[in-house]
Amino acid sequence: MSATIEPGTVKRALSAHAAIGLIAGALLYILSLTGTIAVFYVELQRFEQPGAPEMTSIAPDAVQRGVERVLAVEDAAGLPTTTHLYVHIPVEELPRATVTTDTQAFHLDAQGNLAMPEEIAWNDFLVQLHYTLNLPSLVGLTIVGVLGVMMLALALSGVIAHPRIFRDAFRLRARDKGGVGLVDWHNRLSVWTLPFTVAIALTGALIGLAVVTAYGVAGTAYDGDVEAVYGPIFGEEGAHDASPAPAPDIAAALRHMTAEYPDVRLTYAVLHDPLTAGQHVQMVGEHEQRLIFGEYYTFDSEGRFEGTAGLSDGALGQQAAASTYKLHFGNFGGFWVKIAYVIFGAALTAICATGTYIWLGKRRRRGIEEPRLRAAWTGVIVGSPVALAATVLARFTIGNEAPFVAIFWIGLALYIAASILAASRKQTRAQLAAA
Amino acid sequence: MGAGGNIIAGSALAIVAVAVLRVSWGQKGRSAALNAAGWGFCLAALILGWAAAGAWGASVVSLWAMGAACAILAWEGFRAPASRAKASNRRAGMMPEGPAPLRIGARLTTFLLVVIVALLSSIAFALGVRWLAAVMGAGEANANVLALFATPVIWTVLAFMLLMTASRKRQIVYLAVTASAALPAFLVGAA
Repeated sequence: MSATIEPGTVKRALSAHAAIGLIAGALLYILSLTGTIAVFYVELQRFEQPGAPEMTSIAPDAVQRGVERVLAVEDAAGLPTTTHLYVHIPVEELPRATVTTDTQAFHLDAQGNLAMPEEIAWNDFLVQLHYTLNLPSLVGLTIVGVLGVMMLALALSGVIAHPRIFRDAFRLRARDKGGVGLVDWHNRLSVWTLPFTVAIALTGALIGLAVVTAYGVAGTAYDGDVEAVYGPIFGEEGAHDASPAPAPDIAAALRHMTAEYPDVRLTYAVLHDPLTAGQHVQMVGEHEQRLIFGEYYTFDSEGRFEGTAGLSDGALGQQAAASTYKLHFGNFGGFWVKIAYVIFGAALTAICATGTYIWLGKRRRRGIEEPRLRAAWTGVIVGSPVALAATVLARFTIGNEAPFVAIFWIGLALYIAASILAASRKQTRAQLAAA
Repeated sequence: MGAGGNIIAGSALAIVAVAVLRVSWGQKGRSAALNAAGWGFCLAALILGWAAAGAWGASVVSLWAMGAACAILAWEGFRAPASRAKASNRRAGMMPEGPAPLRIGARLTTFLLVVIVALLSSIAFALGVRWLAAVMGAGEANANVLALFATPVIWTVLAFMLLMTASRKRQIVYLAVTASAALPAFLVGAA
């Protein structure tokens, strides 16, 4: 590779790599860290709320009963009728039946009784931190999408800036000091996790930037209707008809799935516009050895099967779009794939952390001492997991209502400030001693 | 051989491929035969994975290859003796050093071009991709998904190209050329 890339190109690529890394490094580190932890999102729900009822399966009539009870409870409480209602079907990694509406969520017992409210606010905080950096959804999602592109650009510039990529591919001078070991760790982990990094960054960028691209497509092709962009991909929403109607027959839809699609693993039943004449039911079913998050099976309010969206066997674009999520989250192959994602995710987190240290080390070796900048970076690297640990502690001391967003971000800011302050004092003491 | 057999064979071949590449790149001289064998096994492993279960199979095989590489790397790191090699001091040229001017305005302009303008140019390119796909009969779902995929991919390449050139004029040309892909969609009307 060194024979084909000129030194000037390598130098420019290194500058580009450093520029992107310095601007986006801290946020990429937080995203990598939270993404790595969130691989076990569903398992962590059981850890956060251990007392919820669990079951290997739930009868269709119990699901029907649970849905009707949730709708009745919300009606009695004077809440506006939910526009969507999701029933999580018990599966191996999360053997719980949970009904979620626009405003709240309840765990069901095996008979379909409302057992208790779902209390997984810490898990939700973690996922929102990863998805949107706790910013308002559209802004946050787009910023995270931008960071996905920056990660892709880092991967591209990193490869170009690495003229001995193959010759050094297995050289890891882990014990070397003075920066050599750090550079080797950064470069070797980057090279060997490159397919993972590209897959994660591309799917993350795609998920994050889909909305802004969809706005552009909607503006030119659909008279500004963004939903119409997604319709041909994930299926159209049914026609709305707000006139009142009894609860739909979800049990019939579930029985149909069991009879006609025994190999499909159901994960969700989704009600659109419940208690209206326009309501309909969708089942989300996972297919064995596929990357797609599932296929949508649509039923009318009587539980009569109407068709599928085509995510499993429709246009290639539909299948590709439906495959981005599992590829990103690592939930396509059971426990061991998740373990692999955690290992590679930890490697990616380490790559993000070491990049800026390498840059700081080079400057220090050229005589530019920046103790406060180094301390600030250490504040981010150490402060992020510390602040996350503080949110876990808050969950089990304060409870589900703990202000996780404030604890994390204020905690992180304080940790960074304290690191800088400590470095400043150390520098002042050193200067006084030298004088 | 069934799908399960192909996945196992593909995964095993992926591990062998990484091991062969380790042997090849560890030699003093370049071995074209070993290199070809290593990359060939990689390709064959991916083909087996894909043949067994499409993208899912290829993903699983890739994880085995990366896992094998990381395991070998861990061993190399464990057995590598501490040396006195000096770390590179190659300047990344990101921040000014010594009395060099900060050039805040120029840096801010580059940031705006790479982040804001390049995003808009990439979306414009994506609209062009969608238009072309639709005109060529790709179908509505495929055309829309191609547009959604095009934005991050083109933006990545564009951001890299913008940062690789020091010429502001060339940067603007890159952005304009990329954005011009949307012209047919606007002039002719979206398909």
